[in-house]
Amino acid sequence: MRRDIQEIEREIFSKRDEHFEKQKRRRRALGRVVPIAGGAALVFALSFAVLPALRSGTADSYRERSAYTGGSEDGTIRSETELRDGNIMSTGAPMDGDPIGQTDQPAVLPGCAEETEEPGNYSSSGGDRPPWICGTPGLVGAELSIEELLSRCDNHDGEGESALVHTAVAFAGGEEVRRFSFECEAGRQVLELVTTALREAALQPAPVEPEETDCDFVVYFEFMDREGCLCRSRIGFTAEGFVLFNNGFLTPALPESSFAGLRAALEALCR
Amino acid sequence: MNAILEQKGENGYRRYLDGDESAFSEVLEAYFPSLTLFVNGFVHDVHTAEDIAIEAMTELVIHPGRFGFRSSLKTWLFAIGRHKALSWLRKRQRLDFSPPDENAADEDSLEREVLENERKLRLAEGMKRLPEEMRTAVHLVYIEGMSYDEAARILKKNRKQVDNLLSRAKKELRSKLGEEAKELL
Repeated sequence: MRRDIQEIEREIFSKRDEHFEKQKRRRRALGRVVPIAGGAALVFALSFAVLPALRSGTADSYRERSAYTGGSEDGTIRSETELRDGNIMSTGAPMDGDPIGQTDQPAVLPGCAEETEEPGNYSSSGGDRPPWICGTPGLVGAELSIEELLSRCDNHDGEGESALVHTAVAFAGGEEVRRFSFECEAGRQVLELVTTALREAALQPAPVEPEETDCDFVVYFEFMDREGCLCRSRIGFTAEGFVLFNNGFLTPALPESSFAGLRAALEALCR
Repeated sequence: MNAILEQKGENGYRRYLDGDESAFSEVLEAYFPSLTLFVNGFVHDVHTAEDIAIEAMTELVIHPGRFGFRSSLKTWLFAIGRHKALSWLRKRQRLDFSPPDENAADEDSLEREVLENERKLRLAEGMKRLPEEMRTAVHLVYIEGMSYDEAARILKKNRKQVDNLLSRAKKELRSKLGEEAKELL
């Protein structure tokens, strides 16, 4: 028997209440530290120091691109599917198998390709693929720990042990998920922003198992070492400032100002 | 679904967002049956389609800020419904099938509720023989009365691709239904 509207309404409201209850429990479990001074300092740093410095370094980062992958150095956009598992696939085939070409994508900055995704896929766990991001974890090797990720950012000199080969950023909000991908070292600006924010908040792995969690934005990095081995990190940021790193939570939550500053800075890079 | 019902649904959602919980039933009345029928086209099981439609409509209440009233609520919901239906098909986790006869009766009642005239009922029957993409395009444009742009948004295609899909669908329907297809499309 089909259900009547009242029954359906009750079910929807009960799902909603359950969702908000879970959110509250998660908040209580993780705690929330809001060091206002630290947040303000991060926003200041992002606005006046990091971004201008990164922008001036863009040319250098393009020269460094593709040190290991042999990609183009002229800033042309590579399809993200090419990098997805190391095979050259037909460009722009979306995740659900629809044969859409990328030709109708909007023009974006060199090294940064944008695409949108249908709404409703905001979950950061579960499903048969990671949310929004374009890597296929089963094929791209090990996950980096947060310490390794931070050290890869610190030790980068263009000739280091590993190269950033792929970066993707995806934003929820509104009616579409907006995804951006950066080839090779063009994504280093994203890496610097994210690691700065993580470092500022002194985030550590939390002993909490993430459930189905909605992220406000997700960042994905893929590195390749000199032997050609790939490793990756994916970082999800919930609207409340909680950070998911690969398959676990970090604690404490990002201060509101840090979260907003980081999101704004990433959006500015992807614009 | 007619424009008045859609308008009522959108107004109901605005009122819900303003704190009037009882207005959500208007949203459900406006969109739930047609969304369920649309999803049923993918999963071919009315009860599963209802579950998926419930999940899609739940997005409206757990993420109230995500629909920004920049497009029609129906387009937004159908896009979520399609996405969830395709995800379900990929996972195939649910195996609690009801007896076929019971499902058939429910499907029939759902079709009669949503497809208000005989022409649409016959078209819906004919559409079942089409490949998924064509069937979805025909459903959105000829059953739901959406514009090509709205259908393109749900299907994640451009207008031209939707146009091509519909042309091919018409050809297929003509070859399968003969002269009757001309009356239906």
